[in-house]
Amino acid sequence: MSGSVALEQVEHQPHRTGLPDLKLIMWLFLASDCMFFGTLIGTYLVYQGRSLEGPFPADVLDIPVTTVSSFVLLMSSFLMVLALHALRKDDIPRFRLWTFGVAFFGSVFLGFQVFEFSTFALEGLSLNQNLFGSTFFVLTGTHGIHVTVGVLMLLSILILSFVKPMSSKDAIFLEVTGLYWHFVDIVWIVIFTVVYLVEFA
Amino acid sequence: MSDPRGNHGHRGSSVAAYTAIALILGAITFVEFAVIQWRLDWISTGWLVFGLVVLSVGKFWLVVAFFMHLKDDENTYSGFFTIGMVFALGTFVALGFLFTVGSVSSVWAKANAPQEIASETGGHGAAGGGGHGIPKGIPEATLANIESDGYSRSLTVLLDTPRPKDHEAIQISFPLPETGDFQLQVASLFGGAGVPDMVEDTTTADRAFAQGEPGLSFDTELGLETFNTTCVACHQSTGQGLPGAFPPLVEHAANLYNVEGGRDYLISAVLYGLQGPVEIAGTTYNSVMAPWSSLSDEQVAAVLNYVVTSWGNRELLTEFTPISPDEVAALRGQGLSGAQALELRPSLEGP
Ligand code: HEC
Repeated sequence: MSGSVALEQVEHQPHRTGLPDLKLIMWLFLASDCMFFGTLIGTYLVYQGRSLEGPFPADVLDIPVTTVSSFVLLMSSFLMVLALHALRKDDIPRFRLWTFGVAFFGSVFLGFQVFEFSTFALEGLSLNQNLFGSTFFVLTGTHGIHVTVGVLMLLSILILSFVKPMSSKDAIFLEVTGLYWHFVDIVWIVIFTVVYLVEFA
Repeated sequence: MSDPRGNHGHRGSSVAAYTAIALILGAITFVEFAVIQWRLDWISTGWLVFGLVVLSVGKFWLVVAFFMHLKDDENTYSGFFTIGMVFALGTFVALGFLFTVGSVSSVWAKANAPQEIASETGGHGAAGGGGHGIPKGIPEATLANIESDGYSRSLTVLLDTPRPKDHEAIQISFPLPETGDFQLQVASLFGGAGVPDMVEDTTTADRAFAQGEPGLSFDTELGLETFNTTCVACHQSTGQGLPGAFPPLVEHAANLYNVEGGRDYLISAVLYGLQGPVEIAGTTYNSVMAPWSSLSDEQVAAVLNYVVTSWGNRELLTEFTPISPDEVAALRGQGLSGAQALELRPSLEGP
């Protein structure tokens, strides 16, 4: 109990920046995550086209399927803003519906990724098959882990909302989770273009 | 777009605005899919990549600005994010620089160690080239092909990377001394490392051409000289011709030579010229080639031998017995017109 009081204080006490700590921390984290993904994408690009053996990107990448999964992820971001909007208006049923929607769409995206990874594996692409395999799996795998963490965060909030009544005062938690979620989405926007689309340009 | 309500003093966007953004995002994704799925030929790869990058930056910005509210939120957040992005891009650029510059410099180092080959092997005329070694700094490339064109003994090395796109990009051509041990020269190009098997064959063939082995010899020097004074204006030094105006001889003349009646047709074409429609490598030419009866028998024979053994033609030859000046002499004096000479043209299956 005392823990939650402390958290509350931390949460609502204005600090020197005058900004909510949680949000500040999240943005800082995102900034560092930016560099992380920057490195991974950079590495992918550096080794792009340098694999000596197949399967090569053009052999395995599936644009129609990935377009659908990218779309699903984009729409989950849309549901995310709707969920936040609803919570801010104390519209709890809608907030729950949309939050569930985000987690669901995120899971669908992950399902696509599982499908993709297993097809690639069947076609002989593995982490150590060639440069494409290692850079691709590390990059998209890391992204997949981010999505998974996001889904877990959303589900926790959803479950929490049943345990302890939530109101617009708690919107900051959802907002910060939302920031994370959107960030994961924009990373995918970049990956989709750099890894998938440009390959076939 | 701004919503007066907002518990935390947020200038949030309305549901309608969010929906609009989502629709735009969906539409952009569809466009991205469409341009790749129905690839239009007239869009060059460069522009397509540029377009795709613009579209993704657009999506990126829409999400960041409206879904993450960065557009209306505190500047501190944008500051953090910008710094993160800057570092990310910096890493990007640095990585790219490190790697590309690394291999470029090794290519340079190699290219700037010229003349070695000529002096090592005692050859005299490294034909104004300077020896360019095969850059060892391209580990991802393997040797795909070595060609030499009988006359100048230059090597074209295609460094093979698995993707056909890159394949064309790495093609290095360098001259070899006209005399001396071919095998040794090639070996020195590879820095003494293992010489690929395929060099063997080319070497033998090359020697046969260059050193005038019986049955394969012809005056390569005269052939090149005649070509460069007489034919080059139209068919170009590369034998590529000029699209639409002058037909290519590259990977084509040998096909004429191979078929029955081809030898005579080639000789007649030079002696009497050509006039009329002819389909060459998929393009129809309906033009005139002037007669070159002013050339000597030796010149005609040499230039045709040169043509059918150059620019990848040699690989197409099923058999090669040089055209002799006597054959040319035998076909003179028939007074054919260009159109009549064209009638002698054998039909080809290939290009
Ligand atoms: C004035 C430009 C010109 C010059 C110079 C010229 N050519 Fe041609 N050549 C042509 C054209 C044009 C054709 C196609 C004629 C036609 O449309 O019927 C042709 C056709 C040919 C063909 C026949 C290709 C085929 O598929 O039937 C050969 C072989 C050839 N040239 C060799 C030579 C050689 C060897 C020389 C030098 C002695 C030479 N040409 C000089 C313009 C030229």
